Amino acid sequence: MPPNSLGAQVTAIVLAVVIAVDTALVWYRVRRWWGWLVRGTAVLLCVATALGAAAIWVNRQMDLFTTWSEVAGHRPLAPVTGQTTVDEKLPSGSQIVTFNVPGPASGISLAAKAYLPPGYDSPQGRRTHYPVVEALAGFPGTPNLWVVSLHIGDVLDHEIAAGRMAPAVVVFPLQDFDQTTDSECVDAVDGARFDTFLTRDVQAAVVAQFRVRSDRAGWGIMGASTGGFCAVNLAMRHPDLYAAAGSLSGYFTAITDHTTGDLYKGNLRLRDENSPLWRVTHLPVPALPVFLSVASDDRGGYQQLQAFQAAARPPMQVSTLVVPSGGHTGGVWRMVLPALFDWFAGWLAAPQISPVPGPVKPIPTHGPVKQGMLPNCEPAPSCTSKPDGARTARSGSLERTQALIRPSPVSLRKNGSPRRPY
Amino acid sequence: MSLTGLPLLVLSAVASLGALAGTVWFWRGTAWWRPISRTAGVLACEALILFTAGLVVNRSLEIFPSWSALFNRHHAAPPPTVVADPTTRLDVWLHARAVEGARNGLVFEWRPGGVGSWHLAAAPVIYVPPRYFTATAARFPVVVVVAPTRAGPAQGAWDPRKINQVVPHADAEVNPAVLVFLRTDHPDETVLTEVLPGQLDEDLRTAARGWAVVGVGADAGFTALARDPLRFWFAVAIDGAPRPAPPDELAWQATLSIIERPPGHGSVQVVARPEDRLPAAFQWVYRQLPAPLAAPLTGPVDPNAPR
Repeated sequence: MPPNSLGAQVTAIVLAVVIAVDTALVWYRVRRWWGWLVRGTAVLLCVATALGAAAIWVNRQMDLFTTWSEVAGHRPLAPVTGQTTVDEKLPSGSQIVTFNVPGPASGISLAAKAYLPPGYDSPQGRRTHYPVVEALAGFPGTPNLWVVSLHIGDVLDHEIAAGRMAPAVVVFPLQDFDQTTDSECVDAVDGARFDTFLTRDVQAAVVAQFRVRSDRAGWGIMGASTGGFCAVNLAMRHPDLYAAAGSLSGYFTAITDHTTGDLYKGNLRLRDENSPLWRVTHLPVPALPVFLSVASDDRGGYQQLQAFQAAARPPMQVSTLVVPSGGHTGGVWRMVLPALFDWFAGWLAAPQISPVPGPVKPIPTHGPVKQGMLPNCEPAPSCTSKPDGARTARSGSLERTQALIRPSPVSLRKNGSPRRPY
Repeated sequence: MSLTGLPLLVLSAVASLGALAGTVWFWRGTAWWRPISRTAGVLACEALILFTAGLVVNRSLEIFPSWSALFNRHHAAPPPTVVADPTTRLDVWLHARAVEGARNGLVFEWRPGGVGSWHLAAAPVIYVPPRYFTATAARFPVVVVVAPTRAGPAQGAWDPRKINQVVPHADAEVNPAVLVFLRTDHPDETVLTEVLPGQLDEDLRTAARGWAVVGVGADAGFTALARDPLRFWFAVAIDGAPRPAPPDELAWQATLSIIERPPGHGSVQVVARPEDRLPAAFQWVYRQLPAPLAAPLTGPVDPNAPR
């Protein structure tokens, strides 16, 4: 029974009720010296079960922990570098897998998840290098936000099947060591280098372990809440690595609080450089298409979006999608995800298909275009009359010189109507 | 009463204190109903105190601004986004040739209105890829090829009588695009970047972004990058002189100069025999292009609506 399941929730509530009943029943039945011990224990159990039920409700909202091992503080197990474990296979043939990001540049090694599109393991898929979108969760948050809460596999499958998105690999790295410390995805002064990890190391690991494009044109980055801040910040700091960035309910000013610790050690310049809003107003703006989305009743996020949109200037391209209501929740992100992925598809290079290895086939020789049909000519002599040697019947009989070579689209095309099509 | 408002918070806090006081008040006693009242009191205290704590956290972080957001009811608010299939002026004509087009693509001379003022030596020739006929909702990127009137394969251009030899054929091997071949000795930038795209958008399902220009001995492609950077992303110059790369601030653009000898500076270059230069240009361009895509959703989608 995983800690984010309905069963766990019901069990926790039933346990809280049982403990409350027991407390009520036992309170006056123990009258000796140990009575205070029993009563104290009962009260503590009441508090613990109530907090447990509340914690499981919160976990069900955010899917922070999907196993009791993670609740106990153990990080998700990562397979050996270079190997992947399949977490889920969707009906379309797409997969959710777990892999390891060793992180030689940052010194951080963490597990990550990835969505592999339908056909990834097909014969053509094995010759294809897919574009990549890197997706970052909020804080606290894990890849389960996307995979479990938002059912991102279903969203991607649907957009790909509808032809609004080209098949792509979507990568979900961890951006914090645990759920109590927010890295803000930055290279902290004398601390963890999550900027380096999420950019250089993740890209290197993904390129090494999956068939993906390695060029800038094939990489995008997105995130929700803190992940939205991370995505825009990292893309602006590394415009040589990402062709587009998307933010769902993100903010654009670096924060430091009790969850982040002192990331910048008083270096205000470094903190400013990690604030997209400051960068867009004080530094040259990169040629970066950015997608920003927020619910209008998420007041803080909406104000940040408005401020960033007002400050952005060419060549940065800002697209916004404001949802009327929904707050700072996964419900809003679930609604916006299809549009976000469609938007990414328009800015990323297509999957790159390598030629089939084997003997080189000769290119068919074709007849001259000049002898072809002039489909959208006015009915004029220059259009209706065909040059000598052109075919005149749709039966496809070829002139002798043309019959010696393979038929071609051009030669087949020749017999169409000369009528102007519009 | 607002979920993040002070009245609800105060009410919840008062109710918590009241429940606590009531539980303590009714705690003593041995009547048969006392265990029931004690249990109810404990559970009420737990629920109200947790609810109050939740309100404080929510008021601070503004996670759920409303009751509908809390109960995830807002998803029914926006209507599903409906996108109509695109229709263009050549749809009917192309549909009549879908069988042969889906097999090998289609090449035809294109004579849009006003083409006589485009300063072209001949009518533009268009290649429509096979997938155009099967992916009927998709909009395709465009590659415009510009060459001098008399340039042939020896100059890096194409033989007008054998144009099918230079167009990529198998959709499965490359990302398909609509190709437009132009012959002119005096490329008109306005025609290339404004008039032609406008006419082509009306005639064919073309993408609004991710176009490329291949210029044989002409600067047209590079000027197009500057004039309409959102539409034109890539340019290739096939001639003897290298061309500059796009400025850094236009990072989604890329250029290639295909020349005889590497000059040691400038943008990406490929050494190629003249007759190999146009295929090399296509090969490079096709690696950069975005995929043909159906019209994107531009609004929120109800995740629970039938799709």
